[in-house]
Amino acid sequence: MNTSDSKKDSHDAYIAELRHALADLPRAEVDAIVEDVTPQLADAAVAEELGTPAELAAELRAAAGFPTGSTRRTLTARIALWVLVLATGTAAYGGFISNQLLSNDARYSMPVIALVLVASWFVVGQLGRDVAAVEELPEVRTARKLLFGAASSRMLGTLRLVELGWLLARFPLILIGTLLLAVQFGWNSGMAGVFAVAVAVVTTAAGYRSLTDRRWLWLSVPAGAWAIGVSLRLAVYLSLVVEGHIGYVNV
Amino acid sequence: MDVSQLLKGVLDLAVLAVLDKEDGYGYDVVRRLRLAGLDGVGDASVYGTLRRLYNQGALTSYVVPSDEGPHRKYYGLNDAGRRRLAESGATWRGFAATMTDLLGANA
Repeated sequence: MNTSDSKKDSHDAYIAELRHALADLPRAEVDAIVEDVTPQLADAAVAEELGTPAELAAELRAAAGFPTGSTRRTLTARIALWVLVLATGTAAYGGFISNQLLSNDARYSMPVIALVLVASWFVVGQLGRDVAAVEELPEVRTARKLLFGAASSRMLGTLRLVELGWLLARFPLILIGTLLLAVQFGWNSGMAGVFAVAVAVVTTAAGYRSLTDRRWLWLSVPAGAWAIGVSLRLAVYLSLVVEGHIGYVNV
Repeated sequence: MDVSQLLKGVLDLAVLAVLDKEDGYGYDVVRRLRLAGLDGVGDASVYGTLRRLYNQGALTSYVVPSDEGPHRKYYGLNDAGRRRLAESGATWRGFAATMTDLLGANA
């Protein structure tokens, strides 16, 4: 009794994994495939021939002419990459305009940033833990080669330190940028302050976690871009102060 | 020479030929192909080929209950499948004859 129970369990687990590996195909097609495979799976003498669910799914896709799992993986990775680029660009621009008093751009930037964050969240959900798929994209490899060339592993260790330093440096910038933006919406200074601290803490935590779990990059990199946008704005402001055009704060 | 490479191009034809003799369910087709001498044929490739031929409208399917275990889904040729078998069979015979001629006495 016990043996047949555990046999049934592993049978069900196999079918579940197979369904998962074929999840992008129409439901009726997956049902038909499972129906085809089940008699062999139930026959202990020949069940092993099927290999793992992932192997079975891959070979079956190739023979049936279905899109391969890797095509889908690449597509998801590419969408995730472009959402990241879009989020980064939007955040940098949002940071740059964050102190434009009563400007429509600043008001619109908040919902746009929120929308991009939702897209990031969704895309990372689709990608799961498979961030390696993004790193394997040809465009990412080329970019990496151009940026780091023959960077040795020791240099990459230094890079990690730079990343940590950047997390600390950007904290006040994110704080200031968020504060400026929140004030545009007429929030009182207490509420704006709490909100700004929360955003700065969350993005810094995301940045720290991204060192080990790369999924957090989808929150951390746009946050960094936001900080760069804010610092550019501050640089413009300070240069005007130095030149003596300080009479008007809306720069 | 790697037979599995050759098999890729003719698995459709082999599956059609097996089903023309007698309808069969998934693993039954695998077994009959191996009995016929195609022992390198992969289980998953046969399942995938059956689904492709079915989706292309060359096969019919029906379910038969089994005393021993889960029900079995049988596949059989329809008219389109038989036409395809005839066409692909003619192509294969022509190809095989050409290769035999080409190899001649040297092989």
